Amino acid sequence: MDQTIQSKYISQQLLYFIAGRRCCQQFSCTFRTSEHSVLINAARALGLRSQLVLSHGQECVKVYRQTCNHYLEEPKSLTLAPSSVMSMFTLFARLSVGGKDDDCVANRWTIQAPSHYMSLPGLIQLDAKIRSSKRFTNALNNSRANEILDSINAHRVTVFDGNLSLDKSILFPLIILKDFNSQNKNARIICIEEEEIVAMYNCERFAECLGENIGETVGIQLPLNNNISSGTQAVYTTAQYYLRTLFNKNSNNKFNKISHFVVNDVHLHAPYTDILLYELKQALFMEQNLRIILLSQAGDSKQFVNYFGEGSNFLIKTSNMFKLNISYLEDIQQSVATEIIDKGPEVYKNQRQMFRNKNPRNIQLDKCLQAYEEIGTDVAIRPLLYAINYELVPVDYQHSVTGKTALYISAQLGMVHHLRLLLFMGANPNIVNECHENAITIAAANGHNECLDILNNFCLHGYVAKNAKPQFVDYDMIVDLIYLIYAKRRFSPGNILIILPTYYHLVKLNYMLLSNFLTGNLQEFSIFLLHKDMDKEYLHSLTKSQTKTCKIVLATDIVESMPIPITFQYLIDTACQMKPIYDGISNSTEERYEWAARDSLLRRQLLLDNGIDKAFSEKYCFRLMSREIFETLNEFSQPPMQTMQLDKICLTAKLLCPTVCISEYLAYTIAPPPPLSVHQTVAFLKKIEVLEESEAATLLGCRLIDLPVSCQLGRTLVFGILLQCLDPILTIVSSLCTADPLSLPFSDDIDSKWNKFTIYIQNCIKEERARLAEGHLSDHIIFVHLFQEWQANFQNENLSLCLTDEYDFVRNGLMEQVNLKRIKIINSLRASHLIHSNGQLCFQSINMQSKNWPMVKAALTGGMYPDICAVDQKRNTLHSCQSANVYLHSNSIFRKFLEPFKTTAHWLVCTKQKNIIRYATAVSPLAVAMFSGSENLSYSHSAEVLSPAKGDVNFFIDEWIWLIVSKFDFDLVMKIRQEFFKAYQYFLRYCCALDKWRNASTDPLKVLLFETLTKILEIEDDAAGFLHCSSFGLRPTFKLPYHYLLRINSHFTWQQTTCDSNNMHRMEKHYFLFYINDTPGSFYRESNASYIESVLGKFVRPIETSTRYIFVVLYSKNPDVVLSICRVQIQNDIFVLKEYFRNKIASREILQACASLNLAAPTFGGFHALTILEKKVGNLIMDLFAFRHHWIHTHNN
Amino acid sequence: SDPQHKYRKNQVNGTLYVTTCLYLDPRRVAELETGADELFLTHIHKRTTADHIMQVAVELGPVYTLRFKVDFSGCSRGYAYLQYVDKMHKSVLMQMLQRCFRREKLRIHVRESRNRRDLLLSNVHHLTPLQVHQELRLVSHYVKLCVYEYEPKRYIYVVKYRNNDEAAMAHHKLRNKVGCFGLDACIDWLDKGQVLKDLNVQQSCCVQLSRDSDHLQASANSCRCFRI
Amino acid sequence: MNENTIDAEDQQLNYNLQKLYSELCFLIDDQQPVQIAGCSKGGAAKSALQEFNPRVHELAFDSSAPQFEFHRFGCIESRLMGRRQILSSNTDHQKKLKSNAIQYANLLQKENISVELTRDQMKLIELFGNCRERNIVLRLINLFKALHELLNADFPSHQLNSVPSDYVFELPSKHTKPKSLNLRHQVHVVCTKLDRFIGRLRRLLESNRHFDYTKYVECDQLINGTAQGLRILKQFTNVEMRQRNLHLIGRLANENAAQMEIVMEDLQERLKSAHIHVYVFNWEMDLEHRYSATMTASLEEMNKNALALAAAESHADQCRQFSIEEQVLAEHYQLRNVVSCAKEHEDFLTALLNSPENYFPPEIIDLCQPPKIMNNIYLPPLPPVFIDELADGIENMVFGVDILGLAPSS
Repeated sequence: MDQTIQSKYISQQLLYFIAGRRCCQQFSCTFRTSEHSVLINAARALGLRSQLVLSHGQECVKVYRQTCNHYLEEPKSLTLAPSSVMSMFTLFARLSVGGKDDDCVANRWTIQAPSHYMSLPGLIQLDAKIRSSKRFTNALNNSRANEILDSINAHRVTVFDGNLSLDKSILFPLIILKDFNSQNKNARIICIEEEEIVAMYNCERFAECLGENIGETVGIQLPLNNNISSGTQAVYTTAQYYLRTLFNKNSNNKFNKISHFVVNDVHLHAPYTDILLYELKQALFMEQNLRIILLSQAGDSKQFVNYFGEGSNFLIKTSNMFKLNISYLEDIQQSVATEIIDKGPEVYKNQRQMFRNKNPRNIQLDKCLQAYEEIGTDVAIRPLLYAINYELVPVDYQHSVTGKTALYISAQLGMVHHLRLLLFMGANPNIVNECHENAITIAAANGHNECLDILNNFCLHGYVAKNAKPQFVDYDMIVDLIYLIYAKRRFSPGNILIILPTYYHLVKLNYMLLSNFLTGNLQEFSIFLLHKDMDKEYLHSLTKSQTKTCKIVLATDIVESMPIPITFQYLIDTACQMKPIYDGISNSTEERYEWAARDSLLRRQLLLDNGIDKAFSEKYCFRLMSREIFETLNEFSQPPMQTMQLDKICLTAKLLCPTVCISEYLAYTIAPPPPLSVHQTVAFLKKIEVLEESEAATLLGCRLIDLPVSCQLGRTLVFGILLQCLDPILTIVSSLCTADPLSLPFSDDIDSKWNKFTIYIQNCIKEERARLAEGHLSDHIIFVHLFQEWQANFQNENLSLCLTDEYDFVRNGLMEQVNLKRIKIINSLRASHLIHSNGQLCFQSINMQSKNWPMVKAALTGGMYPDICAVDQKRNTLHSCQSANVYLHSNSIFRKFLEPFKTTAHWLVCTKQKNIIRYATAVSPLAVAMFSGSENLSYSHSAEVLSPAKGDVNFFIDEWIWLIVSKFDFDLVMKIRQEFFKAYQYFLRYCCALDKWRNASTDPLKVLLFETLTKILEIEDDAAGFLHCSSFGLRPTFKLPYHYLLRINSHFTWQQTTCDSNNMHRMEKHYFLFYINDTPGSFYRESNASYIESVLGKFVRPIETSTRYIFVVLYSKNPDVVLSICRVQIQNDIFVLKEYFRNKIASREILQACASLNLAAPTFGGFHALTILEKKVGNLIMDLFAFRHHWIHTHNN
Repeated sequence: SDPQHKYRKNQVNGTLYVTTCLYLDPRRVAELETGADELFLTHIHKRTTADHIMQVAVELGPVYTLRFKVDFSGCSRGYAYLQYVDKMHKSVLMQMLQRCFRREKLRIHVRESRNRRDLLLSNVHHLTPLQVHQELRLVSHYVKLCVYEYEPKRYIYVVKYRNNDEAAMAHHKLRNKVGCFGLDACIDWLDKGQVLKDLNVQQSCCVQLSRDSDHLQASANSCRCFRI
Repeated sequence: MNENTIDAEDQQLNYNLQKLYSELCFLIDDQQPVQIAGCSKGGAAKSALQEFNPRVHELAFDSSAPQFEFHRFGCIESRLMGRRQILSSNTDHQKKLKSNAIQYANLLQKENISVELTRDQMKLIELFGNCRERNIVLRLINLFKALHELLNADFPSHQLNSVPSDYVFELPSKHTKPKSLNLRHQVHVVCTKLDRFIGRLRRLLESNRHFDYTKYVECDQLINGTAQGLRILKQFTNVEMRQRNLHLIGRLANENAAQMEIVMEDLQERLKSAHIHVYVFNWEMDLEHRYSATMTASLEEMNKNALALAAAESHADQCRQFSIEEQVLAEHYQLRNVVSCAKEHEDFLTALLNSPENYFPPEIIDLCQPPKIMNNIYLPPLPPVFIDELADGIENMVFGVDILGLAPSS
């Protein structure tokens, strides 16, 4: 029998494995020890690799194919330095003396998330007086309102479909309130919005329209903002927060105090809204009188009725009082082409192709092209393909000398399949080389007919590959359009709404518009921003703005659900959206850009109709997509729950319904997520111990539910608090939630002016990243340093409201978001009692180690687990548990361009996107041994198998992370690990009990534990050969100026009513040159009105009219630089200087530019007297300031 | 005497207000609004509700307002503020109230409220006092801003609010927006433990500048401080 | 906001305010400081208020506006305030200094302890270096866990092989260990489960009895052995084994626990043997007696393929070196780095070259064909430059693959 097992059965299993698709397989623990060696030998005979591992404390054999990277060829070793052994010994010596017992193994089945509640009192009589505003009575005539009421009264579920201008989320509660009050009854209406900002906005407006304050008839309930009174009849909240209040509630009384539920924007299928709909559907069984009113815009309202199995849908039509012109990309291109637009910088038009041969990357790429040209085989093109696919090299890279592209060469060689592939990858066949030949002409010349056919076919399709990509936002086109509208007077001036995919795009376009406006190229306008994470001030500045100038509103798709009382005449729609797509295998989210679906585009187009203006008007909608693409779009957008990361959703579902299996619960929602992603998410949550093995939520899960970040990042924050280094962790976590200002751009991301410099710009950014990393093997530290540098900018000077260059502006905008996110996270940590306002968990004491980089890395290790990779130093590859083949993005400081990956580090903590590691940080083996893996790791995770030395033992942290360690060291590590996780569990369990943490004088042993941890991590970090970090971290601060964009945009709004917009095209610009001794900052600060008067008065006063712009250019000698441009205006007879641009531009650069454009050079004399500049020279200097490229100009000086 | 009809409840963030619906003498209201006769209730058990406290409190007379501090789950945070409509002898009132609570088996301690309503803003380097004034007004309403130049061009700001409640709300808001006042700025309660008596004396050194007349009384005294 | 937007009345008000301010500033920023006793530096000479900018007249001093009070340097109030400030900051500072000093002293003290540690010293702190859990209750709990693990574990099956490894697909386990720390309860639960498990094994065995009697006997003995072990374990459901905070109470409990540990370890081995024997017996009988001719044939076919595959793989692994062409690229063109990078991603790049159809959407592929409709001017979206293994969709992996036939007995 044994014979059969060993010879027949085992070998057959191995054959099955080879025939299958797995790269590795674990053989079950039911094999006996005697079979293990047989298995290993048999595997070796078949050319497989094998390893004895521990899984759930049981020894098993794992078999790997040769190509599998899940395998650690040999265990990583962990050896403790004598001094760390010493400090641990001291700790334990004291611990065993003071040895009091733990309560960490207390009952664990009574875990509940802290309840939140909505303080709605019972129904009482109150004589609320509803004064309805005109606007609403106008919006619907009474018969319609009655019809609506009838419908609401007749059905328990009603779906109303109508466009945004109806302002349904206020109208409906109003109608219901009026009706109830007329019957002397009380209503309790819950109004659900998707975003907090929308709930806040609608609530404010509703209160305003009733002539009350919030908290009277209308209340609001949001995580950090609630105001409800006993007279409140309508409460605005978000679906997410409302669900939060349902936790721990008995299913029979979840909805018993509520008469109406108004759910807005159901068509968006926002995940929490969908879950709420399921809860409501359940509630209908319990509550007979509950009325559910669903509001949608241009959605498929039938599906909701079907989902609820009852009710009716109701379409409200509005009369369109305007004529809508929709133009697509091709139309826009045509109109732009027919107009001669002389905007922008002449000086940069014919930039020489400098910097091209300077760096090794160009040299390498030139050689690749050369090799391909000379050899021409598949192998020869492979390095090029690699560079394009993995190293961000533009597919149209031109050889520095010959100017040939890869496509050109393939056409020249007649390599048809290369040519096709390159075309698929987006190569442009029309690029000409030095001899003014392109791929088509050379194919023709060499008689490669097949190539020629392909190229001709390709060209027949019309080549606009860039614009066909949704991720390409054509800022130039948008600016051109604004030119057409404002400068060229083709259209009557009016407000413009521009819809962009993300906040990052808003910021970038904001700079472009500002710079074009400040140079005087565009008519005056004021810019406003709308996005979902904005502060209320941004919204108020728009809704309460009184400017008479035209408004340009840059918005993300949130504008689709926000009725703004502003009439737009133009809509520029980039028609694209950013969609986060979750990949369960690698547990990462990828940001993918897609064309918006047709229903969404229709909603956007209806934004032009706000229902206010009664006069007939003509409106324009520009879609930056081709008509053909529009034709092929999907009718409806895919519900986000089907693609997004579901960690928070799963956790919410579990806490809502602890007895139901998550996948089952989510399957009942209206647009259920794919079961596979649910399964993978649940498995992941179990792994990071947010859920238990039995799928019940753990303490950690209950704490994380209130944090506005993903579970993994939330866990990182918890480790940051425990290891007393929250501040840097906070910065890293917030940065990971925001766009990275230092990500390497693709060729398409760079403005057309500069995209020939792609390689150069990428190199500069890479250098900047390396500078910020300060020699540390970490990408995450870059976030911390970047934030600190930005913060240090404010140390000396107050925020200067002038433009430097685009990068500076974008960075300020993004850092503002990071800062806001930090504040948001801190507030939510406070609210969920993870940090306190005083005592042991106050902000000061949880930042004691913030300057200690090894501690921060430890917190990252614990928090980011299981995203840990091991470096195989022999093969220079990475191993991880999730994907068979992970590699580092060329962004990372671990990589050099076009060089194989190589590092001295053994373990990396990483942030991934599918199998690409975007950010990584090298950590010491001790950090991995201490903080990765389950919190309940015990002695059963070691095995004395296959260890080379007798005193050593294998330490299995999880199914693949394993270390070889001496027995004594293992004991020490295990013990300190258990002590730490005891503290971890204590923290999670009792953080809400404020009195336990109030006194600073704490358990001395615990203090000692953390002191020891700090010390050994430092020692081990040193021992691992990492750079010692002395200057890491400033003192923690979270008080930084914000609202940067708001302030800068309002700062540049002059609001000149005198400037008749018809005169706009007759504006004249005058320039003066002025010498200053010191920095422009101190100049502007210290020169008072009388000084300015004495300097400028003589020149400016005589020529100042309302149609003249007067600019002063400041320069200084030694070094010879031009520093700043400001505009002068006389307001109330006093000179006002407003600084427009500040930078350092070498005078020589200006002289060169003048020479190249055949202009008379200005003289930089160095006298304290105003000199008049020639207008053309002035314009040129202005352009040099406004259109500078940070990476090209700053790094080329 | 169902308390529900006489009082209205209102929750704003972490504070549950129970306020009287009675019409009161405006002078008394003004007095109460500045925090007069405020009692401080402490050692309130987590499960004790505002209603429960109100039931006891109304026995001694109509309540003007109860400010009951709650957490997210609506449980007490351990303390509350209470004001009666009528002026009563304070120590007697406190004793009686304490007794009532004890009778109801509530171990609540009744103290006199210190009515802290001053915030201290310091380390503002980049803004002039008037700019600070301007910025502060954007945040919330307050009664008075006192500027002290303790070193040449170094100022300490004391912001005085109408009552503790407003001060607490302003503190909350300012904590998030303290960045507007520069990087080092910090906001805190004035004198966390003791009451600084020196500061509460009537500012004798200041010249009151009139607000509505457009000519200023510039007859300055020796130290040339002013009020407006 | 701006005067232009405000009507005439406001402008008047504004004007008044401005005037007020100018006087106010005059008051503060008097050029001749009044000398005050005790104020030697004359900090008032240049007040910060002179910097105030034009925005200030946005401050409206209406009747409800907050008061503004200014105490200049040297004023008694300012002095009081300043002193207070200094006092409070000083105390903080001193505290910090002091605590740092203490820390440093502690550090020095710690450094003085000799660096070499002996094993005896280690034992003092309850570290024995044997990597064994010292707490018997936890050890027992681990054993219970292990038994549950054994009950859950399945022998490898070919269905599992058709799922890729990095595909997180742990099925929810059938038998989860109760969380209770009550040892008797644990014994009770595990015994019930084992009873049923042994019953299943028994039934499986009986179904193969008629095929091979010798093997049947061998397995039968193993099952009986396991059942015997289980009977012993069952006795522990009624013995004294109370614990509090993971420590057993009383000598009796300790003895019982120690005994039970031995019993359970023994039982674990018996269970493994019985399980694998019965399972393999059944499997073998499947192959020999229940498989149809076609099934056997396909199995043989698969085995042959697998062997060939294994050979090919080990061969492929050996030639991970540069080819001659690559050598040329590396040396003649000095492209060693790029070539080795490309080599790392060789599989993908080769696949991309050979069959780009798998990596691009059909619209893109069509671009090289003559256009079907002549006014098709614009292209459908291109994929991002990072092309990923689109073809390897999860659905493909799970459903589109060689799932082999199930064994007839399962």
